[in-house]
Amino acid sequence: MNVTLRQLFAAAFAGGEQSPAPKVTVRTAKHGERVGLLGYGAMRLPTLDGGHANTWDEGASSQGIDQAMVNEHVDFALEHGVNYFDTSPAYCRGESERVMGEALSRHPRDSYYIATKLSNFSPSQYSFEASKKLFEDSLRYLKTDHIDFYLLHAVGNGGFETFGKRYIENGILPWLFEQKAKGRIRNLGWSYHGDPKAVEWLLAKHDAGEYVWDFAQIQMNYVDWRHAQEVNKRNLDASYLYGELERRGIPVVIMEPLLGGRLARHNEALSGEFARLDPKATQASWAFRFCGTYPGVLTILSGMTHKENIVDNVATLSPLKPLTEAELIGLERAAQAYLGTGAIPCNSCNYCMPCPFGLDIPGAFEFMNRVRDRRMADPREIRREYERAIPDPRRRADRCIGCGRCVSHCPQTIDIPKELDAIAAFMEGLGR
Amino acid sequence: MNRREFILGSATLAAGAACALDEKTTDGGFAPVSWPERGAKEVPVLPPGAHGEKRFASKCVGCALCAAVCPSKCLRPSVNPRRFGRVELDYRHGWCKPGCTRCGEVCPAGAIEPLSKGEKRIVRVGRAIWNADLCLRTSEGVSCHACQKHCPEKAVKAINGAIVVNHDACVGCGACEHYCPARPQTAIRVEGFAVHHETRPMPAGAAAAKDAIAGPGVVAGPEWFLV
Repeated sequence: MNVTLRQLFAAAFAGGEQSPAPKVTVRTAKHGERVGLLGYGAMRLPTLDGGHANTWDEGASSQGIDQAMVNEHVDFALEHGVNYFDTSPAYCRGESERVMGEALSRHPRDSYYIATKLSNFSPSQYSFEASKKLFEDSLRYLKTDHIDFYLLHAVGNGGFETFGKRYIENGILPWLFEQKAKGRIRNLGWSYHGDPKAVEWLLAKHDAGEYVWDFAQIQMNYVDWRHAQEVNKRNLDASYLYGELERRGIPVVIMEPLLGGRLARHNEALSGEFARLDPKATQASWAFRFCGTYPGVLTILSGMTHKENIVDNVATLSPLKPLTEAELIGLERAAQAYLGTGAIPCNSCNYCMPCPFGLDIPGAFEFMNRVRDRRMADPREIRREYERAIPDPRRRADRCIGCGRCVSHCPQTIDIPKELDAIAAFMEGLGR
Repeated sequence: MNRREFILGSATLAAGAACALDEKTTDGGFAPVSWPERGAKEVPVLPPGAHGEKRFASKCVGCALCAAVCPSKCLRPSVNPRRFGRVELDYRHGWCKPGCTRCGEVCPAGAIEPLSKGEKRIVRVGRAIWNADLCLRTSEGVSCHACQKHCPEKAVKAINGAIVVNHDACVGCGACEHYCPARPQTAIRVEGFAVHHETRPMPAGAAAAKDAIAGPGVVAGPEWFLV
C-alpha cells in the first residue's frame, strides 16, 4: 500500500472516502502485543489557544487542554494503527493522564496500549507509600485496571544518588514486580536520561535475572546515534544504548526522535543534506524512518501537538520504508551539519519549569536556536525575534539569578544558568 | 504600606516561590512575576549630566525628548506631584547603561548636559543601598548573585552572605536594583544624590584586591556591559 500525504490529508480533514485506512507498520512486544511503529506521546497535548500544554500561562487550569482535539487525535490514531499511548503523572502540569483517560476510555480497552510512568519529579514522591499512590492514581485517571507498559521515569536524571533514593532504597521495585505478577502491569521497563550508572545498574540486574525488563525507552535519533557525547559528555550515544538493549532482546521504545521538534523545523543545515537525498520527503520523515530502520525498535513516540503532525507521521510509516545504506550516510552528514550550528540541546520538555523566578527557560533556548539555525545577523531582527519569543521582559534570560534549581530537572543535563547568561550577554552585545 | 508589611510580603512571596519548587511534581507552567513597587524616593535619581536636583529643576522644560529616546526605557516622566512632568530614572523597567549618552544629546534646554562616554562613567548620580531583611540570600538562603553579576562597575560584591557596596565605585546606574528578584520591594535600591559628583579615582590594584576579598565561587562581573 502506497499512501501519499495528499490522500491522508483528504481523509483526515475533508472526511474523504478512504478504504481501507492506511495502517502504520506493526512490531511485536515481548508478550505478543502488536504495537504500531508510531506511538502517541501525551507530553505536548494541544491547548485551546493553539499552543502545547506544558507552556500555558499562570492561572490557567485543566481547561487549558483541548479535550475535543485530543479525542480527535486519538480516534484518528487508532484508525491508522497508532495504538501505543505514552503519558505520565507529570506531563502537561499533571493533566495528561486524566485527559488521555477521557479520550481513550471511549474505545474498547483491548484496542490500545497505555504506557505511563512512576515519575520522579519531587522528593515528596519518593517514599514507598507515595509511589504506590502514584500508580493507583494513574489507574484511576486512565480509567483502567491495568497498565500495559509501566516505566521508571527518567532513571539517571539528577544523578545515580537520586536514582537510588527514588527507585532502590524505598523498596518499590519488588512491589512493582508483584503488580506485574498480578497482571496489573503487563510490561515493566524504564526510560533513561542522564547518569550512565543508572542504566548500568538496571542492565546488570537484568543480566543477573533479578529484575527482568520487558522494554526500555531511550532517546534516539540520527544526531544522538553517534554524537550524543559530543553534545554533552555525560550522555551515552544512542548506538551504544540500542546495541546493549538489542543484544539482550529488550524491545526499545524511542523518545525524542525529533529532539522536541528541532529536527522537524526548518533548518538550513539539515535541508541542504535532505534535498540531496530526496527533495520530496518532509524533514520529519527522515527521523522516523531512521528509527524505524532498526528492527529492535518497538515504537517511535512523538508528541504530536497538531493533527497535521499525526497525518504526516502516519504517512511516513504506512508502511515503513527502511533507509538504504546511502541514506544512512546522508543522515550522518546531516547530523554533523546540524551539530555545526551549535544548537542548545533543549527539547522544550519543560521539566525545568516553572522557574521560581518566573523565567521562560525553554523559550529563551528556542529563541537562541532559531537565531543560530537561521543565521540571523541583523540586530534589529534578532531583538524583534526575542521580543516575540518572550514578550514579558521579566521572563527573559538576563533575569536569571543563577540559583541553579532547574539544573537537576533537565534530562539533557544542560547547564541552564550558564546558557541563559550566554544568551543575556549575546543580547547585550547587540547594543541598542 | 509600612516597612513591616514590606518585609512580610517579600518573605511570603519568596517562601511561596521556594515551596512551589520544592513541591514541583509536574512539568511546565510559569511562576507569577510582578513589578517591584515604585517606592518613594526622597531625592530623585537624575541622569548623568543633570548635575543635581536644583539645577535640573531650573532648566528642564518637561518636553520628555530624553524619555522618548532612552533605549533602556528607564528615563521616565515623574509621577511625584512635587516634580511632576520632569523626568527621572526609574530602574524598574531598565537601567542606565554606561555606554549610552542619548539623553544628553537630545536635550534642547541644556538640563541634561551632553557628556562623552568616558565622562559619563565617572559621574555618580546616586548610590546603591542594600537591605538585608529583604534580600533572598538572608531571608531564603537562595544563592542569588544578581546584583553582583550585573554591576558594570564591580562595585557590588557578595561577601560571606552579605552584599557589600563599594560607594567609591558605585555610580548609581541601577543595574542591581533592576535585576534584584526580591518582591514587592527590591532588596537593593539606588538613592539619588541632590548634587552629582565624581567617583574617586581608584588606586592601582584595588580592583584585583577586591576580587581577592570576594573569594572563590563569586561570579566575576561581566565585561560585556562596558560597551
